[in-house]
Amino acid sequence: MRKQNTRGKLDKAIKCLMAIIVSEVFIFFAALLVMLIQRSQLILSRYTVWELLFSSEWDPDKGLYGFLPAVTGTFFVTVLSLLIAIPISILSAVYISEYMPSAVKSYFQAFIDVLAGIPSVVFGLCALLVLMPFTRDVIGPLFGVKTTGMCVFTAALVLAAMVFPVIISITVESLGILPVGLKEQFLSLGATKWQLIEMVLFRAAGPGIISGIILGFGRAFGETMAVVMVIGNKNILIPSLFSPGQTLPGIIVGSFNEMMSVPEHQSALIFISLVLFIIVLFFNILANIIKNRLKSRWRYE
Amino acid sequence: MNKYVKESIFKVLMVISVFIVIAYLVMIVGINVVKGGIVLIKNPAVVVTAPGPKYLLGGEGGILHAILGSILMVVPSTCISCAASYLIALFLQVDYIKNKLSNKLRVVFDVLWGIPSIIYGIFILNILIITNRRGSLGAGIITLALLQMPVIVRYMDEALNSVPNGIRESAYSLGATRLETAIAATKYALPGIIAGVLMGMGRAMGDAASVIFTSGAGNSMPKGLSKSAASLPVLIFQQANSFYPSVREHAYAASFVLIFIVIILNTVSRLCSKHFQKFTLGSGK
Amino acid sequence: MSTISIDKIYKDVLIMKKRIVCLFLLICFLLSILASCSETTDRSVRPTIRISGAWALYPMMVVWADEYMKTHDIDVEVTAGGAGKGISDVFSNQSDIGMVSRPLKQEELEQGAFYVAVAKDTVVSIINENNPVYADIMKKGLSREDLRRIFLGEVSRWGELFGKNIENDEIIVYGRADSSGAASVWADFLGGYTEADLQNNSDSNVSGDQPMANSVQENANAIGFSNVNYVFDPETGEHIESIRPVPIDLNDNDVLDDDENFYYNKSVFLKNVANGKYPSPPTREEYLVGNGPFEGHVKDFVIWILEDGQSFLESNGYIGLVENERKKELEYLIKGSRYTD
Repeated sequence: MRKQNTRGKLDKAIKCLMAIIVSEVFIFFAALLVMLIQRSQLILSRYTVWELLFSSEWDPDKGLYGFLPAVTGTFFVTVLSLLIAIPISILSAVYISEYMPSAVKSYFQAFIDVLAGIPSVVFGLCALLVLMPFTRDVIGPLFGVKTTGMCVFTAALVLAAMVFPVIISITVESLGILPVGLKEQFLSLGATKWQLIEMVLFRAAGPGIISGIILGFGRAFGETMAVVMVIGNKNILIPSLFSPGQTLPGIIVGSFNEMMSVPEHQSALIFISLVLFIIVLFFNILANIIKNRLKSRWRYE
Repeated sequence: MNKYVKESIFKVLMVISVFIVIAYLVMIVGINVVKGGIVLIKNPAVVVTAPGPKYLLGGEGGILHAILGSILMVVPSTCISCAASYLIALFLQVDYIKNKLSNKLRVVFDVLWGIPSIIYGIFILNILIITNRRGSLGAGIITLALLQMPVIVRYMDEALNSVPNGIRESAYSLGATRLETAIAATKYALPGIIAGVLMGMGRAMGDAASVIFTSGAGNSMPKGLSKSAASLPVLIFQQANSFYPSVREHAYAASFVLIFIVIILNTVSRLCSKHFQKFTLGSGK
Repeated sequence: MSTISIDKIYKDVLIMKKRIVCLFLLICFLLSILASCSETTDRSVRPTIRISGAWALYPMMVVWADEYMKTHDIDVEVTAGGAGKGISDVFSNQSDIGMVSRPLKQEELEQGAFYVAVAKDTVVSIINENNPVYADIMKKGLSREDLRRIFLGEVSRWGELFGKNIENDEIIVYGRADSSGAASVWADFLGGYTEADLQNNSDSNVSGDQPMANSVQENANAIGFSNVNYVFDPETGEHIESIRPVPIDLNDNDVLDDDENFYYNKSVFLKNVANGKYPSPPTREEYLVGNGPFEGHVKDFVIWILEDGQSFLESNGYIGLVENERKKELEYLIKGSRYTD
């Protein structure tokens, strides 16, 4: 039948097209990597990786490209935001999945999803309008510190808000997978709900929660706009809680305008985007491996 | 410590945590509604006025250039992304390649989802530098298309995965080709697919880091694919801290519009995926 | 499960095909709308000049563009983003003219940058009128050495400068985070420092002149620097809101002499910049930079700026070039090179 032949050929053709598109995606990211590496050659020929990442002077006019302040700044802000976000997220997630009546539960999950979808610049705007004066006028005096409000602390507050939905939704999901039978056995022995949570659920859902935290770390690490708006952009080595700092994405946004004027500066910025890319890639792969391991672990139920 | 006391303490802590999260959400949406709302009420025409010549210095004009720019960038990029993502998602189904390979590919796309948007922007910026081109609407469209692809692929993949096997098997048993089966299966997966598209659109609309490098800094109405264009998130970023109150107010109004659009897109997306799924799975036609 | 006939599947496929065709047509339609957007500009055959760069020259360039477009059939688009952006855009062909508010760097000249000076302006240090030692500063002025110590973090309280002991007088120094010409010349004025030296010793760095002015506005103890446009009102020449320029004690005698006191009004201030009383740096020439010599429409526009355009400078708060300097710049522009053969 002629019609049969055309259908078969169409099918094969589409399969080819699909394979091409999928491999295009891979080629794209391989090309990205190659291009970033190649354009970093200029700066790498003048300084070693060690020098760039670990020297603390940033002065492009003098040819000093020390990224250590930005690296430590990123580290501080990310860790601080996770310290704020993790307890709050986990406690909220437990409450949502265990204590909340299911009617209210779906509303709350909707709220969390809305929070997840809010763009970064909007967070930044709110941080400028609300969190910055809050830090300057309320938190600062509380600790007896004079601050402009544009500091690591404010940035961490904003980042925490962006990390909440990530950790909460994954934690709720992991707690939900757990079999009801398990819970009922434990409760029937006279344990309180919190004991159940503490002793059983956390251990069982542990990998899921950890993968959520790692994904949250990845999100906090790469988040650009909101942080740049409130962090004060100062290349200081070990920022204190209330001093301004600098993050890796922040340097890129602040200086990208200048990319063309000095080739060495441009190469330095590309090098730093390469570093950022590699770190983020690493964290995301790790988080995904853990998440998949969790899924396969509970397959038997 | 008494286990009942412990229970109560932690219960209180949990309620406080939930309260904090809700407070954040209320604060963010609230301040946008209040500050942006005031501006829009005082001068609703701001949304439909183009910027005047002395716009950044407190001159007249509105945010129409950013709204149009955002729409002109997001809609075509979503279309491009959809087309490519649909093919990729179909490819990932059981019919075309083995499970092991498709699982590995799924991991790749999950990883791509997690990459911060600034990296996509830097990549396209590099291409622009090498080919000596300007930042333009076209480059912005490409960046957003790349950005949305992992999101849309993920949603489409899950939607197609949840199509009951019976549909596929009966189609095959009647001699349909893989393509035709896939198209039939798509009908059932349509709500999930639409959910994915809307979610991708929401992400693209709100993203500033990728677009700020590639779409050129524009203070004028979008004029063509190779000219620069403004967009809502970039406008907010650049004007939030301006010295002139009227310029700042435009940033607030833009933020209000942006958050409004994104919330609507997200909500409709979720309604699609939940509501209609109940409807189609039960029909068994 | 009811029977599924072959006809049903074919019908479904047909419907799906129709939908795909519709979607395809829709996309074509959208793309054609976009294409028509660009077509209309091309059809009217209006050449465009794209200008970007320093915040310092931006207000003036907007005026120039406006005036030029009244008498010439051409589109001039002006954006700002900092001096470094101006040069970058010119090199990557994203702009035809870059506005630069600082001397060009060696690497930039090596890449073929061509520049002409078109105006002069200056950078002042700004404080808030509610500053705890405001009266003292107005009476005595701050010397270059005082300013250097403030901006490099060697002095941390306002009271220290005048030997006083006051409550709540910690100095808050603001710097520029972006590629700023103003920062570059101000750092040079303080003693040959660089932008990063200022950044590393400030309490917070912001992007742009406007956020800088905003920050000083909001903090009584703040000090920063800005080009003249954000210190005096463009219409009235008076001070804007709470921002006040810092008078410099030029001869370092701890008293603001009569001839050093010219900061109360824009026109008086500018007169003293023009006659050289206010130091240079931070007074600097504003340059227009191109990727190689200017040509065609762009060249015509720059020639206009150096001729008719100069008449708009004073009313907008800028200083014109001295007559023989202007002639020289015009010569360089027309010849296309800054070397006299």
